[in-house]
Amino acid sequence: MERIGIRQEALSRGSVFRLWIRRYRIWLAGLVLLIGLPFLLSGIFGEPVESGWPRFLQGLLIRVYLMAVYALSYDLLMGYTGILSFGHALFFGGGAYVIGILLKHFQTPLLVALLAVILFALGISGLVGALSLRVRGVYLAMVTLALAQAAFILSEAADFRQYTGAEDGLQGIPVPAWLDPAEHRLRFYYLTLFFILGAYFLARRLVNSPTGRVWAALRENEERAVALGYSPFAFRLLAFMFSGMLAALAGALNALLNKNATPSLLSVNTTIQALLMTLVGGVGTLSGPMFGAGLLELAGYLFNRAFGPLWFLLFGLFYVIVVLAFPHGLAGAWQQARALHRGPSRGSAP
Amino acid sequence: MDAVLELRDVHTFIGSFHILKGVSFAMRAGSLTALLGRNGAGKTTTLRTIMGLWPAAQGSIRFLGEELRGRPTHEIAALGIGYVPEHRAIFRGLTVEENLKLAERRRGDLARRAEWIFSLFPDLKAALKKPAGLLSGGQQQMLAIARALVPENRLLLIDEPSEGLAPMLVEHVMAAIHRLREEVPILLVEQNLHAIRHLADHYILMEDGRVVRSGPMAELLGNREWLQRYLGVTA
Repeated sequence: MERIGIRQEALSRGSVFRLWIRRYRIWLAGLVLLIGLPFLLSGIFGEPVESGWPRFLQGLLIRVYLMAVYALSYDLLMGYTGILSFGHALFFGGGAYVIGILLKHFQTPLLVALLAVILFALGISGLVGALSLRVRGVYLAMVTLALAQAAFILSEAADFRQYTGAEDGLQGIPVPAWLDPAEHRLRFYYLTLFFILGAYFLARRLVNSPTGRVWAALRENEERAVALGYSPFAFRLLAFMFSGMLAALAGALNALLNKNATPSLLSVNTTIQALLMTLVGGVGTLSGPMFGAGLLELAGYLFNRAFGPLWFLLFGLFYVIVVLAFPHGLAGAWQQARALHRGPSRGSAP
Repeated sequence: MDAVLELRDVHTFIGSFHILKGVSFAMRAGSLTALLGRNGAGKTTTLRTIMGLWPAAQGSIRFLGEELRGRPTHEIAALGIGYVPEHRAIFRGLTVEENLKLAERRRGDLARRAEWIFSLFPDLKAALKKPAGLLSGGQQQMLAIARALVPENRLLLIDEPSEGLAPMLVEHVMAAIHRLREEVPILLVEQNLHAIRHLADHYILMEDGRVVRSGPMAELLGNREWLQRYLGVTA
């Protein structure tokens, strides 16, 4: 293979496979662990895999996976293109409402409804992007916030109660029996595991592609990227739409898990949740915000159980401590520790 | 006249400041033209106005017959104008290879021109996987120029390539520019007259946002009075 003047030796298939295994061994071990986790939990608690603690913890993990994809989608915007959006809940909550309304009021088949969620997400994120990307920084944040708040108000409006359930939310979303998380929790667990893996690898592939390089260039210095011939609007819009699609799918699966879609999913708190998970995990790392989502979801649950009504206050303190201890997020701290362990950088300054 | 680039009565404002006050000049094909003048004369503003980074309020900028005024910067670049801004404008967070790949206009641009680019800047070949921010100042400048060579540009605008470089590195960069002039017309902004005296075919002298003189480089170098008056240097 010839790559910009450097000829590389062809490797046999076996060698390539071994190299691949060696390179991704930690990820592969993690994947095996996540696949076997329900059964491991079943063994630990001595209960059947579809009942008791194993079942409850599967539910918690499903929630973690969905929030992880939501955080990842936010990191694509904030970490890779430098867009600070305060309206990300519009996509998450929007996805939940679209699938809920289609399943409940129009008896749409699940796959068609999921396809509709994707189309809705591409359309609405394209629209929000087209409107908000004309301004920068805090103004962009305000435009996205305004649009998301408009959707939030719409979701609570009594005029559409028959479709949205207004302030009560859309309750009792019918989930096909074969996927009902109440009946087949394990199946739903694997669906969301497949979803998080697919979302991560798709996002990773995109940020490592030429498009991802342009995003990084735009984030670092927009003027230089533009002078190379790149339209910042087009590339940022693409990021907006891809990110919106992932968030909407996460929201739709969240609606299937809880069988409801409530206005709180569209509120600014849901956007702030994505922001916090991204900051705690590490901005611009993809995997960091996913771990951030895991940490905040699990810690939130444990704090709730341990401290009762005080949990929210103590959880806030916990968040402050995490941010102070890891100013570059969990992934940033991990990367620094690895670099120190390896010794001086191979690419040190001349 | 076979003009590659022609500016007519171009006015540019930055905020309320009137910086370019009717700049007019034409640049011929197959030439290296030096845009000269003291600090604040409007040289960098002229390049940025051509690229659409600071839009012209009035006048006409034509590149190979196409009007540039009013077009967004990315469209101007896509017409085949490579811009190397001052201050070594590289992407420090990306590797050298990523910086170069980013400049591709068509898939495979870099592979096609890599040999030529690395013959001009051999240092870059050895540093392909290095983060660009870790390169030395001279290497960063070479990378900034190399990036403009990846696509087949039909005009290069280079802003102060010798700025902040050690004399030996200036020589290296200028030698590369000397070789480049045979491939593509260049409009070069440079404060260091000594570095370009044997490099430029033509000169354009600017003062207070206007073009005051232009012509063959030998004419300027032979006129001590102009050198002293407009550039503050002796021949």
